[in-house]
This record gives sequence, C-alpha cells and structure tokens, in this order.
Amino acid sequence: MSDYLWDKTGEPEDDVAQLENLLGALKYQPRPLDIPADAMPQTATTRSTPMSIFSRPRFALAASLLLTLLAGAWLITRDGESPTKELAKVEQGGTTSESKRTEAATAAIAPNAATPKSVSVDNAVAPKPRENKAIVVAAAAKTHRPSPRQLVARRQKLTPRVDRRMNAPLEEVAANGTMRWQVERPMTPQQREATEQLMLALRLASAKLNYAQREMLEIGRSGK
Amino acid sequence: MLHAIGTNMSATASSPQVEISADAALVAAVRAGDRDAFGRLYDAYSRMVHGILLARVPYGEVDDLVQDVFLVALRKIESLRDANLFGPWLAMITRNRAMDFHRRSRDTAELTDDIATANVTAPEAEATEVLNLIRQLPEAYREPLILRFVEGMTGPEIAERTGLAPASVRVNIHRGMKLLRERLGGTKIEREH
Repeated sequence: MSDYLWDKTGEPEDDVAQLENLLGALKYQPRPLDIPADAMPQTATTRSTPMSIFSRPRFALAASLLLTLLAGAWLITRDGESPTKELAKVEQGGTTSESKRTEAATAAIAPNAATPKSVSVDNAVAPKPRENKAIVVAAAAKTHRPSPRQLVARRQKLTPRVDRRMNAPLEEVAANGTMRWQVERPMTPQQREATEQLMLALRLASAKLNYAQREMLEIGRSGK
Repeated sequence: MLHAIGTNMSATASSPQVEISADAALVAAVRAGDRDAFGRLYDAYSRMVHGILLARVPYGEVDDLVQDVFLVALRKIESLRDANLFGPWLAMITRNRAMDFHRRSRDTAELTDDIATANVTAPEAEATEVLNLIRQLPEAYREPLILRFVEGMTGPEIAERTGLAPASVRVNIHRGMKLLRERLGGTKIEREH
C-alpha cells in the first residue's frame, strides 16, 4: 500500500492524485476572523470578584495550610502546655544535656525501645514522646555545644532520679517525680504465693515429662 | 465593534509537534486577553475545523460555521483544562456545532446540498458530488478522508490536530479510500448506462 495516502511520501496513485486535485477546490479559503470586542475572555485583573478567589488553588492551599497549623496547635496545646514552655523549664532546670538530648530523640522516635535510664526529665516537665523530637531539635538549635568538662559536671549533677525500688508503691513513685513506665509494680503477698504455687506446678509437670521421656527412651533401646 | 485578525496558513503543516507545546502558550496568552494569539490559533486550526464541518454540513454553510466555532471556542476557552489539548477540544466543539446546526435547521427548513451548491462552478460541482459520496461513507471515514483530500493534511497531522490515535486515523483513511473507490466505480458504471 502506498505511503502517499498516509503521509504524502512516495509516488501517489492515480486516483488519489485525482481526488486531491478535484477536492482541493473545496479546501478552506483563509479569511480574517472577526472577533467582537465582548467575545474576548476577561483578563485576570478584570475577572477577579470577591467570590472568585474561593475557586482558586491558591486559596485552597492557604486554607489547608491554616487547617494544618490549627490542628498542630491544638495537638500541642491539648495537654495544657506548649512545647516552648516545657523546653524553657527543661533548660532552666538544667535537666537536659547534649547526650541526653540524643537519647531523648531516640526515645521520641521509638519510645518503647528507650531504657528507663535514658530519661532524666521530671514527670512534671516530661513531654510526651511525640513532642520530644520537636523539643530536642529546638533545644539543639538554640543552645550552643558545651565543653566536655561542662558535660561531665552536668552529668554528675543530673544523676537520673529514676526510682528503681522494686517494692515502692506506684503512687509514691509518681509523687517522687519519676515516670510511671520506668517502675516495676511491687507484688503483694498473695500474688507472690500464687506465683510460687504456679512455679511449683510447672516444676512438677516438667519432672513428669522428663520421667516419661526417659521411659520412652529406655523402651526404645530395649526394643532394638 | 469588530476586530479583524489576518490569517497566515504558512506555519500550520510544517512542524506540528512543536506547535502542540506552543498551543498551551497561545491559549494562556488568549486567556490573558491577547487577540493576536487567538489569531494564530485560528490560522493553525481553521483547516481542521473547516474539514470537520465539511464532513457534516452543506458546503455553502461551512465558512460561516467556521467563524462561529472559533467564537464559541474563544468564549469557552476558560473551560479548557489542558491547554495542550486545544486541538481535540476544538474538534469536539466543531462536531457539536455541526449537530446544533442540524437541530436548528430541522426547525426551519432542510437545506439540501443541491440548494447550497446551486451557484458553484463546474469543477466545484464535480468536487461537491465526490464530497457527497464521501459523506455517505461511515462516519469514522468521513473526517479523515476530507481532511486528507480536501484540506490537504497528512495522516500524522490529522491525528495530531484532532487528538485521534495515528493508527486509527491510518486505518480509517485506507478503509475509507477502499470504500470510496468502490462507490466511485459504481458511479462511473451508472453514468455509462
């Protein structure tokens, strides 16, 4: 099949050339386009009405930004204290150091992985894990790096006040200002007794299983 | 008040791929109130609009409808979402305008091609006869054949301007040509009898 019919390359077939010549007489004869003055679309300056700004993407972007900011502010102030205030308290109390900040950031990223030692902040000023990151970043930006001597002194001064007494009641621990999740709950005498009974039962069951296993092995050997 | 824009057909067929991206700039300029930009779009697409109309409405009505189509496009240009698709969008407006023409003419009087072509010259009359044969072909073949033979557009150019797939345009041109050959042969036989 000739390419001429498709893209006018190659030799045209006779009937195709005849049709082109014949129908070419009907082709569009260029003539000027008359545009009425009121037909032109209005320009951006004349088009803007008080309501038209609501249909623009810029307005949508601004509205979404505002909503995000409001939501963020609500989340931050939900517990009654802003992170900047908490940060100020932390800095005044001197309870953060460079290394502690790093650890706190780790705790903020993975709160469950953080060890009790790693947090040395009082309960009253301890921010929630999701707030730690922002606070630590802000604190790192605000404070300049202390000298190693200062760090050592601060570390000695800021020995963690985590109460690790096994038998300390929870309320007492909370009153001491340590964080709740750092403390193991003490056992009552009844609980201790129940635990011992359970352990005894487990030991008995284990001994019986061992005996049965040994019997089976001996039967197997004698069978051979 | 009317404002006349001169036409220039030179830049239409030479580099269609470049003009696709240029269309967006022209559309943006038109939206900003640039009349000359719309004049350039008119120059680039008037053949396509003429061909699409010619496949649907009587020859004598086409020139006026071309103007109408561009005025409608100018008024609606704010509704065009993708400025790169100006061609397909304009083709759609053109097809709608042709349908609208038939809807209106049904209310008044049916304008036949005989009346519309009463004052044309002999070569034009013969061409109109062949054109009528093309217009009796299935709809898918009419547009590509008219754009190819009447407006002198190439297949790739037709595909690019109308937004149709090049492969389907190619198939439609070849199948339409095959059918047209059959019809033209039949016409000759009738004449001989």
